[in-house]
Amino acid sequence: MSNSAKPIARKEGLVIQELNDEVLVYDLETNKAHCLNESAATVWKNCDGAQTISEIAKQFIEKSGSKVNEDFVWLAIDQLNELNLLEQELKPNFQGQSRREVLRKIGLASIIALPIVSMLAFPNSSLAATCGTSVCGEVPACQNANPVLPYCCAGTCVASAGACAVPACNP
Amino acid sequence: MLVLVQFQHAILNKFQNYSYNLILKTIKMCRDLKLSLDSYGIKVGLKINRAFFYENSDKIIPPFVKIEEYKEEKDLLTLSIGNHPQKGSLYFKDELILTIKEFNDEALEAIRDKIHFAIARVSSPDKYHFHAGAVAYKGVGIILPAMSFSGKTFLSKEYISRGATYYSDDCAIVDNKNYLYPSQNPLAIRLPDSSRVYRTADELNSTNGIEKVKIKIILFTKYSNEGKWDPRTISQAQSIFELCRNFYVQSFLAINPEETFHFLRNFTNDLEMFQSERNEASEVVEWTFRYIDKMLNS
Repeated sequence: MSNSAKPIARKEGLVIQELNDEVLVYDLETNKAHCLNESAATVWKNCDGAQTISEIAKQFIEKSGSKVNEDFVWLAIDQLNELNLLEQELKPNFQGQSRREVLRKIGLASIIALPIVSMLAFPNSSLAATCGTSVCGEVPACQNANPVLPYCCAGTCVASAGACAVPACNP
Repeated sequence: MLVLVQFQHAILNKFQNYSYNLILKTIKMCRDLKLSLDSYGIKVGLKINRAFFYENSDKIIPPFVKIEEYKEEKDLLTLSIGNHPQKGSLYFKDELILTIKEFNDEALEAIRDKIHFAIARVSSPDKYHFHAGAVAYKGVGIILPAMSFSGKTFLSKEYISRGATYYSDDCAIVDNKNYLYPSQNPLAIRLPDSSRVYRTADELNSTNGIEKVKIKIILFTKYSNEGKWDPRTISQAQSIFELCRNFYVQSFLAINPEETFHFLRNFTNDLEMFQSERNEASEVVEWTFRYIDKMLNS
């Protein structure tokens, strides 16, 4: 995909909270929370369907005074893609380099923070699990032998063992 | 006629051979009890088998909850015991929230936690519950959100042993003006074999919080063998994101994400926010006390 691509930030099904220069996003469809650092937030906010990757990179240079190139923007796009925060998927264009190589180059050359999008996934339940006892009250994902642990908070049901492979929840 | 009377007499005798307690127990099991659970003014109804309640109330009712006469609460928890006495279901407003296959200690703890959740759910947006330790020092509230097994209780215990006032080691109750309320639950101290002992602040020669206190500091920390205490300030967004790891916050987000984000934003607006791994709890406590002394003197 070329640098003339015009990414569009997804808004549907998201609860968005802008805080200073960072952004918090809660995805109603997947029950995931995301934290976009300043760099990632700047890219995402400029994904308005009108600006190309190159133009977004220019926005960065104007705003931060730091010289960034399209690879920097593609790093953010790559993560936003993966986390379903763009309207349409865009394949990153790292000019034949691996993501690791790009990270290393940008990290050394740039004085501004690399774009980072952190993600938290949690159970889809209005009354979440009690992780101290690893008991879940939601629709069962696993039936097992434990009298009070009929379900799995997370992980998979190992039917032969009659228990959840990952019994600990994420309190 | 004589045969009939003798027959009736034989039946009556057989009936009278059952113990009084067994009959009473049977009658009791058929009777449900309705109560109101009051947590700082938030009320939830509880419909529960009378005998079960009398036997287990100390295990299933959270410590910060007062039990009162039922007054037609609109939010009702119902604990149904099935045909088999060892099975049951817990409902909250007609929603099944827990299935019980055996009423053992783990099940009773799970019931208590679900009752707590129901209260927490009804409490918002006036009050929120965080899975967190909470203490106060010189009138400054400190909240320590963390996952299970991260050392919350140990750290809370260290704080109060060095002069902080105890508010909670597990569930911090805060309102939308950043006040922290005393939860009155004892510290659940884990032993090396993973069992727990419960000690009140008084038993640990420490002070229990009585009045609400304003929270000024939020500290995200967890114990690690190789942990090095090096607290760094984190942004408001990072702080809210860390709070999203908290399972109470997750349940509030699932119910009403806009309101929850709004609450978290207001909650973290005026807080000093820090994050670091730790090893020795004493280091954390000493740093906190120095920070607060500096804050109060400036």
